[in-house]
Amino acid sequence: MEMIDTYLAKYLTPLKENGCLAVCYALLAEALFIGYLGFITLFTIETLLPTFVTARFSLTQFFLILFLLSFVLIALGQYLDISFDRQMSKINKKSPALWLGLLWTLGILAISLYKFPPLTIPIIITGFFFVGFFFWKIFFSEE
Amino acid sequence: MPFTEPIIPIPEAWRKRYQVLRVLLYIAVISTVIIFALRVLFPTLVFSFNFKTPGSSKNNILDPRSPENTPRTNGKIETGDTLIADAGIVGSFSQARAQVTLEKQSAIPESLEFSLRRSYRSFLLPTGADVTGFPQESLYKIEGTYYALRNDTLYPFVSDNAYLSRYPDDFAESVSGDFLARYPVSESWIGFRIGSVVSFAAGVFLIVSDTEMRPVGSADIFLALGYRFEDVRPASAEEIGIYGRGRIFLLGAQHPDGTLFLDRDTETYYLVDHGMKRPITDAKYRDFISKQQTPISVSSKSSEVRANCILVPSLFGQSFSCTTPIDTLSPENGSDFEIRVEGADADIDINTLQVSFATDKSTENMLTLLSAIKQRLLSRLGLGQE
Repeated sequence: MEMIDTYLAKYLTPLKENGCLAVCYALLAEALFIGYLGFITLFTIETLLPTFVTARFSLTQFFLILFLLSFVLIALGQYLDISFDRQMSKINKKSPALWLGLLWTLGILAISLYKFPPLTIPIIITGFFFVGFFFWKIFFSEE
Repeated sequence: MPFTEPIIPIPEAWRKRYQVLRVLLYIAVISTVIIFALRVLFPTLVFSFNFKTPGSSKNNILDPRSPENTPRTNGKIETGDTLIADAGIVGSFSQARAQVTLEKQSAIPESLEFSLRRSYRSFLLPTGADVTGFPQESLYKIEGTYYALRNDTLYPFVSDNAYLSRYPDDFAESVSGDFLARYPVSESWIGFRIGSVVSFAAGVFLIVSDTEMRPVGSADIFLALGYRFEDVRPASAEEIGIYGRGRIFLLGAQHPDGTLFLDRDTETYYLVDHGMKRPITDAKYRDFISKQQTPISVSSKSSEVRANCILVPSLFGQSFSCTTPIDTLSPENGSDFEIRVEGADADIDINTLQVSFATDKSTENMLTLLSAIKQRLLSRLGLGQE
């Protein structure tokens, strides 16, 4: 562990000090933002036309890459002392992104569930929002 | 995410490089989107056959065989011999790429040729003896039911509809009910003419024998096989009930016996019959059959046009490949590609054969795909046909 710290200090500290890592962070954040937008688009197409995307392209692998890069971004942010609070504070009730996200979620749920038996639909939606709530708590809780 | 300013402050010394890198990032994203869209709109369709697992459902190159029609699923081709196989496919394509991978212990040939031609599999069958008229049978109409006398037994037709798909009404001799006492009546029914296309409920079926019918996989496949919905004969549960249900009829399958083809180059009508295509020389029979089923139009000249290339060894391993343009192989001439690998100057043992068809980047192909997407979307939302 000490060796890794020494190695990082030797190679990363100069990059941090001369601003190179800040550029990497900014570019990675932008690439990830575009990547997640692309994932949402492909996921929507896949929901509307099952197998249309997955027959040509692995959404699982794409998401795994985005997920791993997100961890790299978080680690890089911590190393550069960048907090997510500033970004997250922008998401409030007036944010159009929040409303767009909610509309998209409802649309996807409606398309996915419209052929399900009516009684199971509220159960699935409740379960979906519970899982979402717990993930939100795990990732963004201040405690 | 602000697109005009960076997410974190960028040091002055790095700003220019940051802007350049951002531009490169966006160029990469736009290029990826364009490449993905092109691949979706103009896909490359890959067909393959693994000779080590000939029974695998992943093999979508069909029926590897010798010119004498002997199955050749072990991949072994002797010097100068030929491997023939088929691939069923819809659309127009600009080029085909063939790749032949040999077994490690296989001899390496100095020459090996790959070729393709496009038609309907059944039309590429050898030409048999002429069809000189209606099948000879003694036919009777007794108390409103049609019968055929076969081996001193009366076989009833399941319906008038079934009889009229085989013979004109005036072919049956009207006799009294006493005639039934002269011969035993079979419990087996005679159904539609083999090769007929019938519909029941939401399905369309091909009558492939006296006892079997096969459902057609989809409307697209039905049309790609050259059939017309106008020729589909509605059938009742009773009429359909005499048949067993066979495998789904998919692209690449050979048309059943009784299918009528018209060679538009020579104006000759052919009837598919027991592995042959037989010219119909009797005008009366030809007119009767063509009223039952519009003949599938094919060009014999276009069916002989081949696209070929010499398979050349790759740098590593045991594989050979080549690419050939196939614009000359028109989609109007059928939905089947006949694949040939021949001209080997040594006994070879093929492990896998793979043929990729690159879709022609034409407006017509794009509109066809967009139309299919629209249909699928409407079906998904319950607004169109499944």
